[in-house]
Formats: sequence, C-alpha cells, structure tokens
Amino acid sequence: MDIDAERRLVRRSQAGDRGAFDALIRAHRDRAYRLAYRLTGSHADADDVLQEAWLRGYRGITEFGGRARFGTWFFRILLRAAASHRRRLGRRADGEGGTALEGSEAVSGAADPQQRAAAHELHDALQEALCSLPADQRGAVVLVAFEGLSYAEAAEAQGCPEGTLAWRVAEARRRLARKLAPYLDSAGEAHHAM
Amino acid sequence: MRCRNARILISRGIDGKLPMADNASVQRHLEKCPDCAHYAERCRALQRLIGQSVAPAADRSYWAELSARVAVAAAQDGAQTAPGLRLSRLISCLAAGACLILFVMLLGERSRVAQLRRETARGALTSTTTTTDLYGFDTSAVLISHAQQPEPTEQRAAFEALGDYYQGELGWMVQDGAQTALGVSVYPSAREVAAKEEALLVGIAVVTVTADRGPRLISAPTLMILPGAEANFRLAETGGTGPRRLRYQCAYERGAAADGLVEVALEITPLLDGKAVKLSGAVTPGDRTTRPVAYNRVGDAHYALFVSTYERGEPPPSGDQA
Repeated sequence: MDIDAERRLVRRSQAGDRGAFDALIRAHRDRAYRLAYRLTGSHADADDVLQEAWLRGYRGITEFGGRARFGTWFFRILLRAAASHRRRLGRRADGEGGTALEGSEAVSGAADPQQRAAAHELHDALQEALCSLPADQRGAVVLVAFEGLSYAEAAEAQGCPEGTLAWRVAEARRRLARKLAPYLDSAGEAHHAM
Repeated sequence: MRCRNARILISRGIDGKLPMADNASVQRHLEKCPDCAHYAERCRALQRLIGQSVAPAADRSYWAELSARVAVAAAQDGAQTAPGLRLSRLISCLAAGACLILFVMLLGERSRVAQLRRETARGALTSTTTTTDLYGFDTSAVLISHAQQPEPTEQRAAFEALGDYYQGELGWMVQDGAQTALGVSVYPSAREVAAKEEALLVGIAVVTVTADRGPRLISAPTLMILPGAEANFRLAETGGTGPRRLRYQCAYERGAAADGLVEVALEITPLLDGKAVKLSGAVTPGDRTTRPVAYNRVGDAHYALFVSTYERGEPPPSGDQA
C-alpha cells in the first residue's frame, strides 16, 4: 500500500470508519500473524495477542500522528500486547505451552514425509529457541532477522534507540546460535555441499 | 575494536545494514579474533536456517472470524461504527446482546441448574449415550433432550416461522472449572442482503469464564447459512489459554416449528477427548424470556442449555428465576 492510500485510510479510521481500519490491518495482517506467532509460540496465544492488538489499535487510532508508518505503529502495539499477554500468563515460563504440537500444525508444505518431518522438527526447534530468549531480544530478532524490518523501523516498534535494538539483535543471534547448534552444523554442511 | 561492538556490527552486516567503513574495520577485527569469526560464521548459518524455515500463516477464514470478534468487542466498547455498515453493526449488537445475557444468566446459574436437575429427576429431561466408530476411533456422544420436543419438519418452515425478527439462543457448559457459553443469534437477512434473499446470518458468541481470569470472549464469528441445508454450520474453535485451553467443535441446528414450538439443539464437542454433548429442547418464539431447557451431568462436567427469545431492538430478557 502506498503512503497516500495509507494516509487516506488512517484519516477515515480516525473519523470512525471501522472498515478503513480493517483495510489497514489487512495490509499488514500476514506479517502481524507471523510476528505474534513467533513471539508467543502458539496459534492460540498469537490469536489472543492479535485480537488485543487489533482492538487497541482501533481504540487508539486517533492518537496515531503519522510520524511512523502505520505498520510500524501497529507492530509496536502488537509487541506491547504480547508483553501484556505474557504477564497475564504469569507463572507460565517462556518456552512452555504446547509449542511443539502447535508449531507443527502451522507447518504445511513438503509432500515428502521425510522432508515434512524435517521441516516440522526445524520449525519446532526454532520456535523453542525463540521462546527461550528474553522478550526484548525475541522481539528484536523477529522484527529484523525474520521479518526484514529496517533497524530504524524495528527500533521505532520496540520504542528504543537504534543502538539498543542492534545490540538486542546481535545478542539474540548469539543465543539462538548456541541453542540451534546441531541444526546450524547440518545447515552449514548442506550449504558447503552446494 | 572491542568484541562487543564487533558483534553488533557483524550482526548488522548479516542484515545488509553495515556501512562500508565499518565493514572494513570488522574485517580487520575478524582476522585477529577467532571467537568473533566463529560468531560471524554462526550468524550466517543461523540466517540460512531462518530462511529455510516455514513461516507460520493463518488462512482467510481465520481473519474473517477474528475481524468479526473484534467487531463485537468494539461494539461492546461502545466504539463508533461507520454509518452505512448497518449489517455489521447489527451483527455486533446481536452477538453482544447474547454475551450480555450470558452474564446475567451466570448470576442465576445455581438456581437454574437446580431447576434443571429437578426436571431431569422427574423425567422431563432424558439423556442417552451412543458410541460411534469414527475413522477407527470410538467417539461417544451424549444427547440431552427435553420431553416436549416437536417433531422435525422442513427446516425452511422453521425459518419462515421466525418472521422478520431475531431469535437468540444461548447454551453454556462447565468443564474443568471453566464455564463456556455460546450465544447464537439467527435472523433472516433478506432485507439486508438483497443478493442472497434466502440466506440467514448467524452470529455466535463464545465466552469462557474462569475463576482466575474472569469472562472472556473467545469467538464471535458470523456465518451465512441457507435454509434446507442439512447441517446449518459447524465451527471449530480454540478457546482459553494456558492449561485450560480447550478446543470445541460447536454445531447448532434449528429444528421444526410445531404447535408454536421451535426445537433448538446445540452440540458441543471438546476436540481433546472427542466426546460430543448435544443439548436439545423446545422454545416458544416471541415469549421474550430466557429459559433453561436441557441439563445433565456427564462425569464431572455439567451441561445446560438456556434459550432466550427476544426481538431486535428490545433489551435481552433477564431470564426465569427458579
């Protein structure tokens, strides 16, 4: 969506047009879902977070000043909703909660059973490793390394300076690499073999 | 250059965000520091792995359902709805109304359940259990029904008997300490959806109430159904969070109108154990009350079906007191 179309929809949303707000969400929904899923580790929790973020966004659209793009603003709301969700879950430790099963459900893809099993295993391992990260680092690495946001956009979404964001991404990578060492070794071998 | 700074720059380099000048200084550091060189190699391998992983995705029906849920929640907020969106506003209000009734009902829960228990004891309510082989798995179903159930006739006749206005039905269950309610709103859409004159719109509100988390709307999708269809709709939902997360498959059927009565049946299937509970009873359209029509206890779980009828624009009835 170009920026002029986005601004028009924002103005209509601020005037109370829910359809316009839905259209804004629609433009970012796939990335928002991936982000929510990567942050929480399950469809059910991602669903909670998305619903909450959508509602918060709708309620707060009049406060959106247009300094950032709508997507960045919405992702910031989504990150906060994920943090609130985590606090509500309270005692549930990061990384727990049916991640493996639901993660597997989220992976469709390869027709070959072996490939499919490998894809499931990788998906689950990656998700488990993500869930073991501190929340700020998880958010940072998902925004940048998974979703390809610029450092400036990700910093805006996380509400932190760009330098802090860069450190979070670097540290998250270090931790993820340690957790996923067996997969990195095999990925490295496959890469060199090509 | 210190290793900490080098690693930040290495990480930025992986994302292609590293200025040339920094790139040169990082290269010089890597030649002298095997630890950072290892870090760089691991980061590249990690990024390849991320590229190989399948991204989670939701299908279109999920977004439609989530959008409807947000609409309901926004309507409950009293949030503004744009002029011209009369239909979606109506759906929102109906589902919100169903939720409202639920909360009122929950206040009087104990006395109503006691009344239903008495009815069960005197035989007005019956319960039968059947076991079906479903794809090689034994699936048991419990049917709880009221003695005064009309004979089924053509579904379309039942729809036509409803007239122009809305009928609201509610059912709720208690399982593992969590109460789950379903509010169902059905109304003819002929005037709102000119292109699909025979279609009906159904709004469902599913609410869970737990002692520790309080009431929570978990679903309020809107579905379009056609008269004469054998099964009006079937909906699979995931509700709740944490250890109490349950999956329900809910089916709602409207039966026939006979002697001024309309049969209402609600089937709730927690997908985790596959045991279906069907609650069935009869109501009089337009009596403007909330009535308990079916109850039973299966194991530790209590099941009850309440039916509310009221016309669009009216406040929901608060229900009978036992």
